[in-house]
Amino acid sequence: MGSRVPSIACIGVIGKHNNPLHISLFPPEERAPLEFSFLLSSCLDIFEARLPHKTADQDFGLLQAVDERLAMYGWLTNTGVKFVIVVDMEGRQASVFETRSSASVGLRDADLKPAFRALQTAYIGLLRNPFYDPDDHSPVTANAEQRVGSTQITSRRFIREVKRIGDTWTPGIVNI
Amino acid sequence: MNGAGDAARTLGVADDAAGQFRVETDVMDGSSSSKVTVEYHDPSGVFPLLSPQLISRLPLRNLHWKSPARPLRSIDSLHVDLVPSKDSPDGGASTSVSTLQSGVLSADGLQRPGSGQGPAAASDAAGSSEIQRAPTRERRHQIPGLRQTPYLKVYLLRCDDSETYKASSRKLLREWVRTHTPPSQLSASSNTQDNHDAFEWLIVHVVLPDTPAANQPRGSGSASANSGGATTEKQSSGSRWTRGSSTLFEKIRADFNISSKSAPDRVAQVRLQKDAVPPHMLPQTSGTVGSPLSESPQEQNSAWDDLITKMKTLILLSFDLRVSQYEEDIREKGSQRALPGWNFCTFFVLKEGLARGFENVGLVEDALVGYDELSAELDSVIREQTSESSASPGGAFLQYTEDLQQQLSTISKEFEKSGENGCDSSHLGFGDKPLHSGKKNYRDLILSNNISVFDFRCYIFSRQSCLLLRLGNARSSRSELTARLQSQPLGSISQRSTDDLSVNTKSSQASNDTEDLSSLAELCQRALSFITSVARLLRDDLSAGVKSRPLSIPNFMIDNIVASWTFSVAEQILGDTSTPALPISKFNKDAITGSSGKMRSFGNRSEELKANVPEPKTMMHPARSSSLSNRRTSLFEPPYAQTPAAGQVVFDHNRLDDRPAVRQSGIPQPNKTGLEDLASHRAKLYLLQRRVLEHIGQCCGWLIGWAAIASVQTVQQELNEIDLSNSTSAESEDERGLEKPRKATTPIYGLCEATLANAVSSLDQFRAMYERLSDLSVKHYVVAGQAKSGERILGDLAALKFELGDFAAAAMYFSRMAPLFAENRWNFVETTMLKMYAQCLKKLNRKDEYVRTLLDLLSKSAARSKSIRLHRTSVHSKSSAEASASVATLGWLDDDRVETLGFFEELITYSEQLPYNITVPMSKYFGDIGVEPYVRHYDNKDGFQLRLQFRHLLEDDIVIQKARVRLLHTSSSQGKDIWLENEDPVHLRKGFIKTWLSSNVNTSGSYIVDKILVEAKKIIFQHEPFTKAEASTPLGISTSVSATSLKIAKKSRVLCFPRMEAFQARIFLSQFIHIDQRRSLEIECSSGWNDIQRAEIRLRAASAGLRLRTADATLVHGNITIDDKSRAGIIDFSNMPVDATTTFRIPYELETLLPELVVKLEVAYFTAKGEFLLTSSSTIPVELPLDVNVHDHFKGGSLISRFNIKTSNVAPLEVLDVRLESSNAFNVQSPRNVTTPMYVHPKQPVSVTYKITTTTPPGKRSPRDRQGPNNTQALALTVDYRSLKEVVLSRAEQIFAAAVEESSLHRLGRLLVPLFLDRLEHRILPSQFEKITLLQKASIGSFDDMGWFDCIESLPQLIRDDTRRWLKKWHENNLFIPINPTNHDEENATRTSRRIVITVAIPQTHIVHTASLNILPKERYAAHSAPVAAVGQMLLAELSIKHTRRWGSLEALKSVANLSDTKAPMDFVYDVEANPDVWLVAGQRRAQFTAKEDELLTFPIMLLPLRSGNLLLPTIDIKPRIMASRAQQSPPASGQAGVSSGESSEDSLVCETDYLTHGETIMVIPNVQSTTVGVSKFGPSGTGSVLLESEPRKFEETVS
Repeated sequence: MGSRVPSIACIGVIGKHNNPLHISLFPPEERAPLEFSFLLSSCLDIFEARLPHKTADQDFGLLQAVDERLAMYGWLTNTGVKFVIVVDMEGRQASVFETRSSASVGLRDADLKPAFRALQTAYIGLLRNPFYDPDDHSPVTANAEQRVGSTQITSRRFIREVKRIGDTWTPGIVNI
Repeated sequence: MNGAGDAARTLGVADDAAGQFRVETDVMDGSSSSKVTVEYHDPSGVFPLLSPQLISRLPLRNLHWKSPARPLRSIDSLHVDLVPSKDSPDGGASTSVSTLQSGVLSADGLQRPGSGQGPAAASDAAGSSEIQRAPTRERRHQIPGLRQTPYLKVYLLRCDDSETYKASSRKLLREWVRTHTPPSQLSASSNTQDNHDAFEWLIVHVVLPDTPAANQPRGSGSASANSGGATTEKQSSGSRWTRGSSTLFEKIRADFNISSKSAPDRVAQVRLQKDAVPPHMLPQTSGTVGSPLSESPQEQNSAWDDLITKMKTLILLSFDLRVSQYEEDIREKGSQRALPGWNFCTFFVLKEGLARGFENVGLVEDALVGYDELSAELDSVIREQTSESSASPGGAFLQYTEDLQQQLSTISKEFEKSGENGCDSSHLGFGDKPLHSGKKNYRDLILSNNISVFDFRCYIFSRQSCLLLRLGNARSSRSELTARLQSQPLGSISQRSTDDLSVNTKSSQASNDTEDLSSLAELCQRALSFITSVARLLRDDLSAGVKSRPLSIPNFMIDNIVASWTFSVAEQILGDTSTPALPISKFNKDAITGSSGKMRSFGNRSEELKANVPEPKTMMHPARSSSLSNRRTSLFEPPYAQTPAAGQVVFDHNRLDDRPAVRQSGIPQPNKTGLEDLASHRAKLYLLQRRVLEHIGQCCGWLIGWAAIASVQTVQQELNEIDLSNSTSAESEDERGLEKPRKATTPIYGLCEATLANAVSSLDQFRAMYERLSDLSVKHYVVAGQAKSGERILGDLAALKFELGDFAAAAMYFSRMAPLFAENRWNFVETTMLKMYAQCLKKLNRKDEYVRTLLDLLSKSAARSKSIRLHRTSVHSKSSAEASASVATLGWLDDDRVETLGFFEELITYSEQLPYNITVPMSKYFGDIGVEPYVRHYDNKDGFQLRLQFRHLLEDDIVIQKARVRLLHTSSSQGKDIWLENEDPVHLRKGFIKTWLSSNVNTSGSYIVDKILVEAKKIIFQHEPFTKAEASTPLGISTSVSATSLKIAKKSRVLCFPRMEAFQARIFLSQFIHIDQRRSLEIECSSGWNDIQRAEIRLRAASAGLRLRTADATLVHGNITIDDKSRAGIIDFSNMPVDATTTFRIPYELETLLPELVVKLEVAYFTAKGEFLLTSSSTIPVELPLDVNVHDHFKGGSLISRFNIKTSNVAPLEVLDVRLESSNAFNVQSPRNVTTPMYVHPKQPVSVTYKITTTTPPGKRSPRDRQGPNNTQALALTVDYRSLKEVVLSRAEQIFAAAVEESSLHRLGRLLVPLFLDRLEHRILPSQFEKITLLQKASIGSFDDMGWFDCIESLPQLIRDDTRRWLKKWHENNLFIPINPTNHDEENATRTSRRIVITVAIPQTHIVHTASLNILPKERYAAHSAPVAAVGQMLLAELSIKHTRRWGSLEALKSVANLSDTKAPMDFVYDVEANPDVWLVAGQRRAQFTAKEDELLTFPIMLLPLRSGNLLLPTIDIKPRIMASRAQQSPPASGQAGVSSGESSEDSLVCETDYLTHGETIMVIPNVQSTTVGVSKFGPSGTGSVLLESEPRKFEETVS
């Protein structure tokens, strides 16, 4: 059994009204979408519970360790958009350079920061797109307009960027 | 050590002393209490005498420790463990005493550990305890932190008198002090290591009663009172006895206290009461002593307080020493970290020592901080090691844990041994408390560098959890402590000594308040991350171990062991943190019904379920050996009383289930701090357990919850790839049958946790377990207020119910949850749930809900397709395949993805079962719904078609039976709505659907599509473009409704118009109006190409007060038969051939005058091709465009009537002909040359004058008399006229229609011509008609002016350009149209000319006087020129009046004038009215005369002109005079009445005067012949003229 290293299993972008804006799974064929949807939706409680005690920092750190493999980390932007990264501690096979298993070490909250920053950058990029109207992706307006369907982000560029973040992140990475 | 620990566990709380002792040691090993050891040296065996008093004053309270580096710490209470010193001779001399005592004390319930026990017991205890090892010196340097060495050593001195003291005691004391003086006190810097065990010493002088010492006072009088202050009481009475000699106490103090000021006082004295001392301890010589000094209880107390204070001070002193020592060591060790060979373990032990030190004195937080730091340091050390890879030789830690390896090998052996039969490996498990610092000799392992990371972490965490539990004052730690404290022989005192633990063992309520939930929550949280991370460690550990030895352990076994470990640790933490504040954290006898309690309403189902699912309790809760629980169980009634179904099992569980029972007693305090945190973390722990369970289940091939459903769904979706037989059926139907093979292959070996092993024993158990865990976590989440997480688990439960076939319950869950997710647009989750929900509903046969859920789902799917289409059509113009491919590679979870293949079909098919129709908005399911706003006509019949188009977004092919569209007229008041319908069912296939809808209505006007209905079986899709447009505007800006609807209306306006050949009906005002007769409307129908068999005209008046008399309708022309006109507003006729025209005239009545009438017309006509309907609504102006006035002037023989014809509005009229016909009573003489046509302009009326004479010759009786007095003979004035507006319009229409007819656009004729007219009518202002009349031509205006754009836009694209081009051209060629009346062809003239007949009554006048004033003599004045007269010349004139009564009826005159006879003379008064400035009238200026018919009267009058010039002759006024006397003659009238009646008849008597001299003048000249005027300077002004002389004319000359 080759050693495995942590990798991102799922990136969720969740809107201000707790609506899913985007969910990416890594690798998509191995992850049960339903399970991760539930995980993401339930971690919103943790955001809410911790929010009152939160200072200016956006990093929520470890939200919840789901089981011995999965752990969820959170990040909250100033506009109330939440990024959630689910890390699989044995996400993928270690490459040659990552010989030693870091399972015993575990992850530090700081390990996820680059990923969150990159996500935020991507999201800011999305917001700067004049054709992206955040209101279009809010369930409040959608409900008001009686639109059916989800409010997810469909920007190809953003999705690609999220995928890139999910793929490139490894523990200890500094820049994504 | 292990053995002892295990023994303690297994035995639980034992009641015998030995058991207690073991517990004691165990607990000490765990060190979970704040307790310091105080060692006493009791050579004379007085401790038993002392202890009751001493212990009652323990624990020490309110210690304040101040160390330079830290803030002040307060220790509320500190336990003291009193331990006899090893070198104390308690085993020797006092054996008999102690044995004796133990009997006595146990009888009293007073017991204590460590003393009074038999030597065997003591040594046993010592052997297994740390205390025993502590003094052994060999490893002192290695493990400084491990010792529970005493902080204080006490010498209990019994010295009854000074002699003994001097003789032996002093020496003994000195010796003891020497051996026990802490090194630091001897030489401050000799060996710092010893400070780890720093201790202080204290001498307690125990004074027995009746001894000499007892008789001594405390201090030696006031002399020594200065030294002690409050703390040291002196024996004051010593001086009474031996002067100068101090008391024994003072002596000891002098001997042993160091005389430095800062040094603490180390000597204390206590006196024992006589009754507390057994007689044999009392000195025999009691009699010899004098009267004993009796001490007051107060003094005694203060003596004891003194002792306690000293103990506190000294303990703190030694503690301080130790802490500083440790800190120094830690610093030192820490600084060496960078050096090679630095050993973390050593450092750890050192630092832990400090932490333990803190813990011992009750500074739990500090201890916890210490451990936290250690844990972090361990992390970094491990990290360093990993990063250095294999640089550190063999790693500082073991690669694997030895005993885990052994366990593994045992399991594997058993596995091999048992083979297929399966073995219960639960006995190899981790036990009740997998985490326990006392489980292994961790510290030794650490010290010997012989520990694995796993063990290391476990150890640290177990310590942390201990501390947290202590902080949290958890029940579990309390119970542990309570157990231990109970073991202390304290009896009634125990209550006081234990209340530092805040456990009132007698009343459970009190304990509720003291739990610190936030630290419990903290523990749970830490546990979560600990378990998850260390589980990985464990796995690595195990696999490393497997690699290291030739063992073939299957991977699943490792997995299972890890799972078991995880599960049991979680279980342990959950157990530890259970608190009465969380009453829901139970899964009691309601467990099964609890979760299914929501479905109790479903009747038997819950019962059924209960029978199916075995009671999960059998495998829950491994025996908890809490003493607390044992005592509690009896308090509550056995739970089986409530659950008869599974009573036996529950009862078994009774003992185990005490925990919830306790909770029930406690009042839940929901607002407690940290409660929510705790609940949520506990819930997560439960979830963790559940996940473990799920994983194991997965290994067994059991999927549960959503996973199961998801797998079923994938199977459904990918039928080809997955073999159906294995996976799906495993879950669904044949569970029991599949159980066996699974069991054979299931890799459950290594599941060493009993609960888990039980759970996987069968699928039912598994599910029950799953449900239980889910239920617990849901309840916790509810308490934590974390609804979303709770919902998620409810979802799992729902899925479970679904799987179990409990559809009602599942449906209930789903119906609750799907909306919650829908609200925040968790689309994927929602749709999955909805699908499940739909299945449940179908199974439950809840048709309506089922259909609605399906509709919901489909709407999502449709929305998805819509948005995809939107994207595809937008910026990226990729093909769908490409797009989906790119999405797939990106691998994001497309939240919108909904698979609904087959759902639509199912929905439609199923809808047949519905008892009623369901109407749903169409836009949710179809895209691009619209109706092409272009009508299409049939080639062979009336009516039209519209094309309905929409996009079918879903995959399924369906058939719609009906598609209908409703059109509404744009102006809401008009017209009725038109329904269009398709003829055949439409088959819908994914893609764009276009279908023609047809209507038999024949109408014109602009309509809007109001409603679209598509019916498929019993589902009706409805679309209302209007309302939808209002709802959704881009950007969410709410535009006003009217603006939106206007915009939309313009866009989707359907311009309906019939074919040229179609049936046509027109309503207009009848061209002939007789002013006195009923007016009527005319309906002109032309059949066009229809051979009408039968038709029905329905007329409806839309104006108020309008009544249409259809019953009086007449056929004006045409060859048809009117069948029935009896029904109001309806005319039936039949047999109208092709190309026939017919006109009906329908009279109408108006209640009020209206300028126009609004009439709605519907003609339903039947031809061989079916029924058709024509609808139209017309507005008919009925205001007459002309006014006619009459001026009458009566002559003696004739009447002159002048008719003035004006326009009633600004538009000019053309009067074609005016005629006044003679009647048999009157002759009319027309003017000879009336030029017609004449134009009547607003400012230029036309007047025509007629001379009317009576047909009866003068002198005969008037014709009126013959016909009676009241019958006035009227003449009729006939005016033929045309309104110029109509002329222009009709002319324009004619030209335009002709042009259209010839052009290629003739199909649009019925659209263009009316529109053209409408536009033109509005374009030409009334004021322009004047110009048009004068110029004889009308300006039509350009193409742009006419506003054809609207019209053209509503035409199909195909013919738009043609139309535009043609219209443009026509306008260019026809800027003006000629309005030449002479060129009017006949048809136009007849169409526009109207005739009005006005009856002209001849006015009534009774008497006409013809008067004239003639200057006499007549012959002097020529008739042709005005007479000439001079001013002041008297003129003689003659007034002649002729009287006639011809114009009035004589009878009327008779009655009016009160005449007795029609020929009787009447009285009149004439009046010459002359301006007095002009005429001087002489003679009878006013006179009364009497006249008869045709009588001529003359009166002479003298006139004198006063001024020169052309002067009008005076006028004459003649009035009838009715005599008052005549009035009086009328018999009944009184005076007043006569006057009034006379006046009234005078008024009603019409008397006209025809004054012939009217307007004649006379030239008056001044009567001067010559005049002389002087012109010179006169007066002040200097200039002027003056009349000097004038000479009048000679009269004769004038006369002649």
